Amino acid sequence: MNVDFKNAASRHYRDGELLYQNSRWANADQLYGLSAECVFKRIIVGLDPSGADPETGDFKNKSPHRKHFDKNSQKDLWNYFSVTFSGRLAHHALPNTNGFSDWDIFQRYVHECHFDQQRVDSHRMATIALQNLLQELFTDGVIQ
Amino acid sequence: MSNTVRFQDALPIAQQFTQTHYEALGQQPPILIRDLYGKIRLFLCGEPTEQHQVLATNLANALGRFTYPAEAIFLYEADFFNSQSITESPDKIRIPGTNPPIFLLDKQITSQDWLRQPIKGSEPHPPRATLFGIKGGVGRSSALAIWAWHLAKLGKKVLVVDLDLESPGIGQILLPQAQSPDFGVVDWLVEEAVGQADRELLLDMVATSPLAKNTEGVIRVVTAAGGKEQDYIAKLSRVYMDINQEGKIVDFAHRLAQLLQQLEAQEKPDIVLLDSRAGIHDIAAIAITRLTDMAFLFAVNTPQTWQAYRYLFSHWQKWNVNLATFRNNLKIVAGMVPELGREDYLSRCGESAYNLFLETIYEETAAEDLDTFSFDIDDSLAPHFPVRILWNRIFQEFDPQSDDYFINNGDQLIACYGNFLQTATQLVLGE
Repeated sequence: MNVDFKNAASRHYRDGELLYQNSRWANADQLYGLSAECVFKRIIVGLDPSGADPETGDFKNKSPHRKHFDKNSQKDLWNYFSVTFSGRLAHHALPNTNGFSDWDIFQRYVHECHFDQQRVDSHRMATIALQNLLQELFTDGVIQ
Repeated sequence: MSNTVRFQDALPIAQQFTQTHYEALGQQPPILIRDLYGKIRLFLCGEPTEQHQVLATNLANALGRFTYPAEAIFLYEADFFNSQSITESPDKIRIPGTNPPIFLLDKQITSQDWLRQPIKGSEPHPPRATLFGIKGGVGRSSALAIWAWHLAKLGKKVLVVDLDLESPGIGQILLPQAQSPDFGVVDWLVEEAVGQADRELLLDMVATSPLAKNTEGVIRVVTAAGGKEQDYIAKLSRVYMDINQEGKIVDFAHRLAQLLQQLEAQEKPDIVLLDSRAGIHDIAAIAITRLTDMAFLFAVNTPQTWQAYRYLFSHWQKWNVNLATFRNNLKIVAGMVPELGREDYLSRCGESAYNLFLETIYEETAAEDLDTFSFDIDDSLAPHFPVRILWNRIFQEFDPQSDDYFINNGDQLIACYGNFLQTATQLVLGE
């Protein structure tokens, strides 16, 4: 299956919204994180098209773009994006702080009691901010 | 003749195309989006049709480099995460003369603020005046310093803010180096970007000018940089940013508005004077059209001055958005009027200014129509009619902090600045 970061970001977000509206905090939270990850990667593909394999849509093997949200800042996607691409967003800015510093894919294994609305809200807002940023970059012509 | 489509050709071509194929493009008015490269796409509500594919190919061919491939040239509502940010963008402008309407969303890196609406704060603010010159070296900062002193003599509390961040000056004119505040405008902006523009910072941003020491009033000064600044460029290079505060975008203009509101709440001035930078720049745009009550536009009677103002005024006239909210608050100031041939110079300057307004933002009027924005050439109350500041060689080396400066030069000050001081004070304070 080919990679389509934009569609993936959109479906994760939309399904996250469905879960959110039904107070399914834990899984909504997971999906917002996945959506945000895909948004970053869609932007990166736009800014560095040569970094993606045109056949699969995925980043090439050993690409430095192959990162995820991670407590280890050297491996973390947000931190990597911020350091590498902040100056390339025309006049747009990333949110001031890493909205997913407390999100990890590992959390798919944990008990749902660890998630409440407040936690989810912060990730939801951060995802919305990133989706809006992606849209602005596209409309501005910064990425195709 | 070349078929190359240049930047300025693209928008008229796209507009014409849209007018021709209006019905085929959908039920809602189309929005032309011109991006940061000047490339044009069409935002359409509704669904793609087969006819759209043909039209897209035609438009792509017509626009040359200033568009996208046919498959990417029409943008549909369903493709957007947040299509309302397009359809309800405050920067969406109806293209004048289009009926049925066609809209333009012009995406720019800078200069978007020239067309945006004035910013209203939650509280009323004290009267603000901006001094601006499209070209530098016209005596703007000197005039501001003298006006501040004059207002202080009238017993006013004056707050002066240096917004000429690229070429700061008013701070040095009004304050001895040793009395400069610790922090300046750029500090507030970089601290505020990380949520740290606290009360302590604000208090350390303002200093009292000794110019007002023998008056009933006070001049408080906010400088571009703090007195001990070591790394100005590092900060300056980061200030013109919209910030992203918990998902909400706060644009630079609103950040500046917040700064002024906080300063005004702290200082409670009777009047605020903003020293704008010269030239066509965002911070000038904000200081003239969005934040101020009166904008004094300095000019010397040279072709390059009027041409530069023409770029700006015709931009206002062309898009005609929000112009009515600030056009009555513009006033031309003839700076550095020469001693020799003074009246002839003023007459020529006045005529140049009148022509500028007449060819751009003055409206055509029937003689009996009192509501249109239009004035006679000799109407001294008109925005174009220059307030005069006379040049005198004693102002070549302007050092108002020297002892007894205002006593020693009182006569020349009145002679040269009297018209400006009286008119400007009247216009801003009504006194």
